[in-house]
Amino acid sequence: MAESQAGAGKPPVMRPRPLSPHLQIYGWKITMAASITHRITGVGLGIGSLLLTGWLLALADGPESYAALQEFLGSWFGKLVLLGFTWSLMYHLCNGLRHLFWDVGYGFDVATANRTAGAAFAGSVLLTIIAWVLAYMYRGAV
Amino acid sequence: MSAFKTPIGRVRGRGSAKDGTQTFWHQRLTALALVPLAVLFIGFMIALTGDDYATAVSMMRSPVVSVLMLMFLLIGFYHMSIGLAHVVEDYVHWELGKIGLIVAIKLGCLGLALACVLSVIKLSFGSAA
Repeated sequence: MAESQAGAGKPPVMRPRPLSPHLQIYGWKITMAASITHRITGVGLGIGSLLLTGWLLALADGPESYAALQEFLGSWFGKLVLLGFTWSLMYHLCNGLRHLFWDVGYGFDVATANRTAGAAFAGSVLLTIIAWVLAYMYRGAV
Repeated sequence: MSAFKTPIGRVRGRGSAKDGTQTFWHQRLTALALVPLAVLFIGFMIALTGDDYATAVSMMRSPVVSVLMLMFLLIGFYHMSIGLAHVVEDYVHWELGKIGLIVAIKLGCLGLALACVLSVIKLSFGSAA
């Protein structure tokens, strides 16, 4: 009150008041994106595990079932699912390594956390591309 | 009513605190094991791409492949059951729905794991085609 009376005429200079932390107040950071993506890919892998179970059941069931599943996986939709599965696994693997390093006490400072979050995103995309290129090379096609 | 209970009375019958971090620890332990197992799994799947049924079956007959696959599946489904239950615990606040979903997740993961294990064992013993 005393300050505002001294500087009469001018608007009172106010120090920015601390805001109560809330999800809607925080600016979007790459570490937050990395964290929620870890969860989303984890749930995605849960759905993907149905595909892996189906693949093993079909393989154990016989050539007809296996051929039917291979046909689905060869379709554009099957390939899209498989691509999502591959990237989810790569991302969950890369970001999981970050978690394991945190668990033993490394990589907590902001600069490192930001850098490793970016590395997890970039690395997972790169590993997905490598896996698919290798798969197509084995296939002998393309 | 619980306000009239002594602290020891409130915790009695709720289990030992000694295993309070068991799920947390198992999640980390399975994560660590899954790093090399997932890499091997991806490599195996890449190697199988485009192969016909007979080749895929003959590869699954290898004891090394079978054992590594079983480890990946069992540890993977256990890791998955912990993770999915954790997500439900975080976002589902209706107690009955939460318990129902967690039971469904645990039983679902067990069912899927058993289906996978049965398939791998069947392939390993070579009784398929």
